[in-house]
Amino acid sequence: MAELEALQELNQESQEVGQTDLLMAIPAPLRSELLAPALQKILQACKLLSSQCQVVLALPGEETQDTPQELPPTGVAPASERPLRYVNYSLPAIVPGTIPWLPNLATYQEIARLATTLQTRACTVLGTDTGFTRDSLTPEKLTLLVDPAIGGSFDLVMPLYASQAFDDLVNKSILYPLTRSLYGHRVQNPLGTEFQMSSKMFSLIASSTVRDSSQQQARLPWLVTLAASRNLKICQAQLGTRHASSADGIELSDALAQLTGPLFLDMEDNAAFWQRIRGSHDAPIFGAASISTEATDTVDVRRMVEAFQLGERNLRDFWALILPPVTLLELKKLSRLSPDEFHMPDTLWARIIYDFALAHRLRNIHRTHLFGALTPLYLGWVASYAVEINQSGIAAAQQRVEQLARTYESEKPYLLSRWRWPDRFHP
Amino acid sequence: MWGQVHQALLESLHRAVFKVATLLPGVLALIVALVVSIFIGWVLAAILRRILLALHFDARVEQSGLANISDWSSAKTPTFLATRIVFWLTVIAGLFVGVAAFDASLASGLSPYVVTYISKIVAAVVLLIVGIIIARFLSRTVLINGVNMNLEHARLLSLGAKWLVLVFVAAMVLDHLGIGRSIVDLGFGILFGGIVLALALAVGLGSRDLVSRSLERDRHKPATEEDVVRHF
Repeated sequence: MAELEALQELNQESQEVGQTDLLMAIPAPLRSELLAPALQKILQACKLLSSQCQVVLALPGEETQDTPQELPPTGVAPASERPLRYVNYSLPAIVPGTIPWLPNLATYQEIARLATTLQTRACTVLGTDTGFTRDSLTPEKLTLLVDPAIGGSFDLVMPLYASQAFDDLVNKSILYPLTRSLYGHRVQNPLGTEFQMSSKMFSLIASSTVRDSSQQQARLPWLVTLAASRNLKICQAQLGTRHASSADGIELSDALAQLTGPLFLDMEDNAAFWQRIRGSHDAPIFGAASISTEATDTVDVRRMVEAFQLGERNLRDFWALILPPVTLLELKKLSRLSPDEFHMPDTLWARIIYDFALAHRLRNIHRTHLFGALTPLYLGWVASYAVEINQSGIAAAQQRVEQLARTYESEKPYLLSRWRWPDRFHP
Repeated sequence: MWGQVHQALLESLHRAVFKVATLLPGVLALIVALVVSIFIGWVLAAILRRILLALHFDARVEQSGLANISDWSSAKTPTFLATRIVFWLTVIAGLFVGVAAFDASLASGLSPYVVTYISKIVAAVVLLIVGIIIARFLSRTVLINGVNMNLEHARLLSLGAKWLVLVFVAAMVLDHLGIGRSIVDLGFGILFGGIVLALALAVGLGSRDLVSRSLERDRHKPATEEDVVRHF
C-alpha cells in the first residue's frame, strides 16, 4: 500500500517535470517475472549514461490500477545519483491476429506524444519481453542506443542484431534490401523494436497520420522510411543476439502481409521521394559486433521446394496478373529443378518483389490474396538461400544478404520503369 | 360468298393495322423515353464525375477505409462506380416511364405487372452479379489458402467452392423470378443435401485412412526446416 502511495507521488511528480532529458518507454505490458530484471538493466544503464540527465520511464497502463506493484522503490535510484521517475500512459488496444511482439503505430504515437508533452531531448523505446529476457542486451549496450540521439548527433538510432543465418528471413529477403534500395540507408533491422529517437523524430511520429485511418491500429511503424524521407540522420547500435520471437498461431502469409504491406503502402506515400534516390550509403554503427564463427544449421529444403512447385502449378493464373511473362517463364523453369540444385537468381527475386509492390499499388488482386500468392515464391527464395548457405557459416550468410541487397539496388531502374508506366508491355 | 370472305379479311386487316397504329406511338414513346433517359443519365454522370473529382472523392473513400469494398470486384475507382450507378438508375427510370407510356397507349392495364416484373429482373441481375463476385472471391481465397496449406487438391476445392456458390445463387435468382419455383426448391435441396452427404461419407468412410494417416504424420512430423528456419 505504501508502495502504491509512493508511486502515485512519483506519477504526480513526473507530471510536474519541466525539462526532462530522456524518456524511456516500454511499449507493451511486461510479464511480472520480467519486470525486476528489466528495471535493473534500465537503472544500470541510466547510471552509465555519459551525462547527468533526468530520465523518465514510461510504462503502459492506467495510472495506479495497472501499475506493477513490483516496481522498485525510489531508494533503488537515489535522486542525488540518477533520478528515475515513472509515468504511465494508456496503451491502444491490440488488434487480434497481429504479430504480438511488434507494437503498432498507434502505440509509438502515444509514446511520442508523451515525449512531446514532457519536452524530452530524446526518447528510447525498449522493446517488449524478448528484449529483456536475453542476456546479450546489457546495460552497456543499452547506453549505445541512448547516447547518439541524446548527444544530438542523430535523429534515429536503430538496433543492429546479430542474428543466426536462418533467423529473421522476411527481413533479410524483403524488408532490409527493399528499404535500402528505396531510401538509400543501409539499416539492417528496419523493424527493430528497440530504438532511440531525437525530439525532431518523435515530434514527426506524434503528428504523422496514416492515409487509411482504419488501419491506424494495425499498421506497423516504419520509422526508417519516415526519417529517411525527411532527411533525418540515422545510425545503428549493436545490441547483440536477438532470440527468435514467438510466432505461434500466425500464418506465414498473414505475417508477410503485416510486415511487408505497410512498407508497400509507404512506397505509395513516398513515391516522389524514393524515385529520386540512387544507390545507398552506410548508416554509422556504434558498438562492436559480436563475431560468431559457428557453422550454420543444415536445413532440409524439400518441403519448401514442394510448396513452391505446388504454388507454380496452381497459382500461375494469379501470378500472371502480377508478374510479366518472362518472370513466369523463369518460375516455370525453376519449378522443374530438384531440391539439391534449386536456385532462384537474386535478379528474379528482386523483380518479383518490385512487381508485387506495384500490384499492391494498382490493386490488381485483393491485397490479402496478393500476400497469399507471394508466400510460395517466398518459400522458394528461402529454399534457394538455404541450399547456398547450408553449413557455410554466419559470415557467408551475411555476405549473401549483402549481395541480394546490391541486386535490389541494381534492379531499381526496373521498378522505376514499371512504377511510372505500369501499362507498358514488359516481356 | 367471296364478297363476305373479302369483307371479313378486310375487317381483320383493318383491325390489325389499327392495332399496329395504336402500338406505334407507345413504341415510339418507349424509344424516346429510353434515348432521353440515356442522355440525361450521361449528363448526370458527367456532372457527378466532375463534382466527385473536385471533391477528391476517391482519396476520401480510401481514407475512410471503404476502399476495401472495391477489392471484391475489379480495379475501378469509387468515382467510376458512383457515376455508373447514377447512369444506370436513370436509364432504368427512363425504361419504367417508357413502359408506362407504352402501356397507357395500349390501355390494357399491363403496367403494374410489367413494372413489377422488370423490378424483379433488375433485382435478380444484381443478385447474380453479387453472387458471381462472391463466388470468384471465395474461389481465389480457397485456392490460395489451400496451396499455402500444401493441399494437393487445392484447385479442386476452389472449383467446388465456386460452383457451390454459383448453384446457390442460380437457385436464388430463379426463385426470385418465380420460374419453376417448386422444382428449383426441390432440386436445389436434393443437390445441396446430396453434396453434403457425399462429402460426409467420403470423409467418414472412404477417406478415413487418409485422414488418420495425415493426422499421424502431423503428430510424428520429423524435425524439418521449421525447427531451424525463423521467418520473422
